[in-house]
Formats: sequence, C-alpha cells, structure tokens
Amino acid sequence: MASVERMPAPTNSKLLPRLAGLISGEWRYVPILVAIVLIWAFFGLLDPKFLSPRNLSNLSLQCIVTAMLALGLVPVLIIRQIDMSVAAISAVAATIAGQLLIAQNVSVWLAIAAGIAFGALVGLVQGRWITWTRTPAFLVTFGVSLVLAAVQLKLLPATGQINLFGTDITFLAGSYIDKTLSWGLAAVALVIFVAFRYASLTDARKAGLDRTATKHVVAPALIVAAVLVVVISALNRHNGVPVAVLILFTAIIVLSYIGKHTRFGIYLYATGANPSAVVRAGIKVDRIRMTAFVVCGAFAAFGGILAASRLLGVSAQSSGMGTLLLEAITAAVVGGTSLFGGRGSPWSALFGALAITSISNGIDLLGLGTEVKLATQGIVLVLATSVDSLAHRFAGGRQED
Amino acid sequence: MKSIVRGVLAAAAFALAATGSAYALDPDPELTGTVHLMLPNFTTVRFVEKDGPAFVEAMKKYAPNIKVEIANGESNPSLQQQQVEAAITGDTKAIVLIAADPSLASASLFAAEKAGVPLIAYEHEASGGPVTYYTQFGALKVGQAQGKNAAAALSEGGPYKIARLYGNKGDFYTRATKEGQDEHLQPLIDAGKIEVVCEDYVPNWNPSEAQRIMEQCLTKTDGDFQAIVASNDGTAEGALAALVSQGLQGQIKILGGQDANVATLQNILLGLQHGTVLKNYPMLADSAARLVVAAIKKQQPEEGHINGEFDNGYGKIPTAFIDVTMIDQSNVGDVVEAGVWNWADVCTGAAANTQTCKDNAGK
Repeated sequence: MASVERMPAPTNSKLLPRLAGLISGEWRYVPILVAIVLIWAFFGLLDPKFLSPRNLSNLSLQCIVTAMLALGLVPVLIIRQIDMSVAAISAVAATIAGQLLIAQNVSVWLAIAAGIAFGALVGLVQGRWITWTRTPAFLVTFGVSLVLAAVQLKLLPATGQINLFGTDITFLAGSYIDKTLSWGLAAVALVIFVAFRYASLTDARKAGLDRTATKHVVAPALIVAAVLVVVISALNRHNGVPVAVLILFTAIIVLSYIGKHTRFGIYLYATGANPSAVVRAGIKVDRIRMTAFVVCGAFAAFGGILAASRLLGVSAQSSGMGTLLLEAITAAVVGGTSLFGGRGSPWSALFGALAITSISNGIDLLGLGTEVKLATQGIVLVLATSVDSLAHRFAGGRQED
Repeated sequence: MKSIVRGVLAAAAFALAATGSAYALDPDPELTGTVHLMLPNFTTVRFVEKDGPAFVEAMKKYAPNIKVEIANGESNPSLQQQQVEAAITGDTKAIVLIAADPSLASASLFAAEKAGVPLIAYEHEASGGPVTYYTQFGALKVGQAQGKNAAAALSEGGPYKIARLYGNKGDFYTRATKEGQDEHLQPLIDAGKIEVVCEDYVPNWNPSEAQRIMEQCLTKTDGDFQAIVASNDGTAEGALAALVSQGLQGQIKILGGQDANVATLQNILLGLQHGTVLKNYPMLADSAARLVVAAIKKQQPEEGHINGEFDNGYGKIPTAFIDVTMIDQSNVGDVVEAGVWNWADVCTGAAANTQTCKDNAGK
C-alpha cells in the first residue's frame, strides 16, 4: 500500500491481526450481520411486536431512503473519497420532481427522470471539479451542499412546501408487489444467483483452483433461498413486499454485478486500493472517479424522490434535513464499506441501513424518547467507524480486495 | 348559495375582528428615519414571505416617512448580533427582533438598550436582556386552541384512545404548547374519557421523524386508537403519511395542528385532517408596527394593546398576546381573507378537486 500509513499492531498476538484481516476481508459482513441479529434479539425480547410482520414491513420502508443514499456513497468511498452533498442533492431532486409534477403537470416518469438527471449532473460537476483542481472532496461537496440548500429554497413555491398526496409519485414508496408475483421474482432471483455461482465455480476450476460444488454453489444457494423465504413470507403476512424494496434489491444486484464482473468495477476497486498503480497501468483514473460521483448523485437524487413519495410531500424542513447525511455515511461504513478505500460492496448499504434503522425503529416502538435516540446514534457512529479503523490498523493496513 | 352566505359572514366577521384589532391610529408623517426588522432565518418560510412584507405595509400605514430595512440572520445568532450592532451604528430609530436563537439574543438586547434604541421582540422569546415590548401569538394560546378543539372533537361517545405528538424536546415553545393542550385534555384523561396510548417528542419538529414515531405507535397498538393530537402542521403531515402508508387515512382522526401550512389546508379540505391553528401574520406585524410607533414617540401603546407580560429571564416584558383562530373545513377561507395564502396556493394538487376549491376557482 503506497499512501496509506502502516501502523504496527501493538500486540504480539497473531490472532488479532488474523481476525482483523478476516474482518476487513472475506468476513466483512460478519460483524454487521451479528449486530443486526443482536439488535433484533434485544428489541424482540423487550417487545415481541418488534418482530411482527407489520413492524418488519415498517422497517423495510423506513430504511429505504438511508439505504439508497448509502448505496450511492459506496463507490465514492471505495475510491477513498466522500460526498457530503448527498442529503442536499436528495432534497433538491425531490423538489424538482415535485414541482414538475404539481406545478408543470409533467408525467410522473419524466418528473422522476428529471430529478435523477439533476443528481447525476451535480455528481458530474463535483467529480470534474475535484479531479481537476485536486481539492479534497470533503470541502468541495460540503460547499456544494450549501449551494444546493439555497437552490432548494429558490425552487420551492412561495408556500414553502409541495403536497404530493393523491399524486402518482406516491406509488414508489406506497405500493406493494402482488403476493404470488413476489414468489415468482424470488425464484427468478435464485436461479440467476445459482447461475452466477456456477459460472464463477467453473472459472475458478479453469484457473486450477480446487473448489467443491457443495461449498461454492449449493450451500450459498440454500442460504439465499432460506433468507428469501423468510423475508417474503413475513412481508406477505402484512401488505406484501414493497415496490421500493424490489427497486433497492435490483439496484444492489446491478451495482454488485458491475463491481465484480466489469472492467469498470475492477478499476474502481483498484483506484481505491492503489491509485498510483492504476495510473501506471494507463487507466484514466479521473474518469473512474467522476463516474463514482455521478452514480452517487443519481442514487442520492432517487433516494430523495423516494423520501418525498413516502412523506407525501417536500419542504425545506423535512427534505434532506436532520441526520440523513450522517445516517447515510454511517450506514455504508457500519455495513462494511471502508473509509480507507478499496473495500466494500453495495450490500453494505443495505445491511448498514437496516442496522441503524432497526435501532431508531425499536427506540420509537418502546417510546424511549429523544435523549436515547441521540445518544445511540452517536455511539453507533463512533463504534462503527472505530471497528473499520481498528480492522484496518490491526490488519497492518493491508488491502484485501 | 349556502357557501356564499357563509363566505360573506366569514368575511364580515373577519373585517370586524380586523378593525377591532387595528384601533384608530392615524398616520404620522412627522416620523422619519429608519427602522430595522431582523429576520431569524430563511428556513421558516413565513418570516421572509409573510411577516416581513406585512410589517413594511403596516409601517407605511402608521408612519409613511419611515424607511424599513430588513436583515436576515440566516439561523446564525452571531451574524444577527452583527446586524443589530450595524443597525445601531447606523442610527436606527427602533429594532424589531425575531431572534435567530432566542437563548442567544442577550448581547443584542443589551447593545440596543445601551444605545437607547427601543427593541421590540417579535414572536421568538428573546431572552436574557432588556426588551421594550414583546408581541407574539403565544404558544400557550396555540396549545389552548388545540386542546379545546381536540376535547370538543372527542366529547361525544368514547372513551377514546389517542396518540400525542409534541414538538422538539427542550424548547420553551414545545413546553408551553403542551401546557395549553393539557388544560383541556388532562381533565378528560383524569376522568378516563381519553387514554393516551403513545406520546413522544419529535426531534426538531421534523415531519419524517413524526412519521416513523406514528408508524411505531400503530405497530405497538395494532392500530387500535382513534385520534392523533399533533402540535403543529409539519408533524401532523408526518402522522398522515404514516396513516396513508398503512391505509388508515380517514379512520384515525388527526387533531391539533398549527401554522396553516398549505399542505395541511389541502389535507383539511380533503378531510384527512380535522383542523389547524391559524396565526394571522399580518395581525402580528400590525401589532409590531404600532408598538414601534409608540416606542419612538415615547408614548404608551393604545389602551388594551398590551394585554399581559412575559418573563424572559431578565425581567417582565409588557407583552401583546395576539389571538389565534381555529381553522377547519368550514372556514379555510379565513386564511385567504387574512392574506396568509391565496386560493391559487391552496387549490393545487389533489385539493383542486374539492368543492371549496371549485367554489373559489379564479378568485
């Protein structure tokens, strides 16, 4: 690792670096999945309603916006950058979509597309500026977030808010998939998953690696099938699988595919892990970086539109305000995407968002109040980033991917 | 026909109320110089869009030769302090201060007193220093109106189960609003006619937080309650979003509300929320203008204008508490009459198809 500082592990134990290596490597999701199980067990014991189908349905919708923003942040974090403007982009995109829908009577698809296009454009401008001037992304994107807050105030009507009740855009966060259809989609997803595992097994064997079909295809397929059955039957016992959840999963799967199986994805991880080597290999690193910001802006914009669809409105007070930015960054990092670049995957956005939303969901269910909410959010942020930093440090700053 | 009669009656009632509050104060062309209005931020839209212009209007009415300068503190108390100091240096005649942060206005208050500039605190309770007059709607009055309305809506039948949403925890405004609500609701709770099944404070009055809190309340109770009492319109809108996502809109009443947000007025017209508390901004701005004129002339304000006092931690300030109006489906027009919004603002989106909007199309 060229530019990341190497810190010697302070103990002589060999267990610690190995564990840290695993956590920053192939066991990346173990801490977050254990955390989710613990959080669910904790709240489930305090109030069994936490695990009721109705609450799981709530939870799936409550985590969507954070997950969508975190998903966009993943490629930016992988290239060792940050985007502080995601919450502001989400607010402006929602305002644009809402104004087009209400004031201009534009069709709902065009309104959504315009919002997403705006987000991508902001990402492009930010990415170009950062790669051209070499200003730290933290400062540029923070500055842009202030400008965007001003833009939102200008774009909102004089009344300061847009009411989306009864408009077509509410289907995004307010509609559910037909119960039989969701089983069909799950079956298709499983078949695709098995096909991918099988393809990667044959590739590995061609490369001379000794891999068994049981461990490499059958076991993972059984786990995925079990998760799908549990999730879908739980959600079907309430209203069904929300359309927004389907959109999120599709986005995650597409981004995962791009990350693992395309040249762009491989360059993306390489840019984060070892930028100078990538430059020496003759790859246009600036283009990769700009693309990461464009993806981030587009997902932030879509997240904002989803938020508006869920809250049935847009206003300066509700959109992109509060802790959304911090929650999105926390979600990505707590889910296993490293702040040190090169490591992480789209799934971390889902796991992280699920974990932090589960906490606020449980606190609200128990009615524990504002103090507990603030304190827990802070502690989770510190712990999550610390696990990442410690794993990085004890693994000797090695990059695993 | 019936609605025309009702409209005329409402207009007449409002005209009476308006003349009643404006007293007979003649324009005084002798007064000259500059008066400063210090706005707190850009995020609370009403201050920029409504209170500011209404204050300029009112000053024109009472002192046509006084110039009004408007500055905006951009949510930053130290910026606002600089603006106050600049106004004093510029020889201002009086300052109307809507504190950017009510608890951090003390330095501005002392600076104005030292320079002998009258300072009128407006809406936000500027605390910890000398203030000439204070004019406000009063969170207590708002809470009382909400509580009275909710108690009336829950008086027949029952007993009822309700959920309560308060404002940001720790705010004076939140505390006073709750106190006002309790005056009417606590007796019913004590008598067993109302049972509060969920109650929580909403961080920063954020509608998204209110939505999640209500979704969790629905989970906790399996949706078994009949009404929600929300402390302002933003939190009521969040509560409505929670009901809509569970298909319960219209089945659980939304009571309370304040600000007469456009989205809320639309929800009231659509029958999704019961009512809201209207704060007639031009009336407050008018009160401030009259207090400014009295302070500059070093005279007492007209009889009855100051109707109470407010302890801001430094002393008891002579205060004008301005009346609030309860709005429901029958008198949404009052909001338009008050000049807060016009029908074109209210009648957009789904609300455009309601009878009230059709009756008032083109007005």
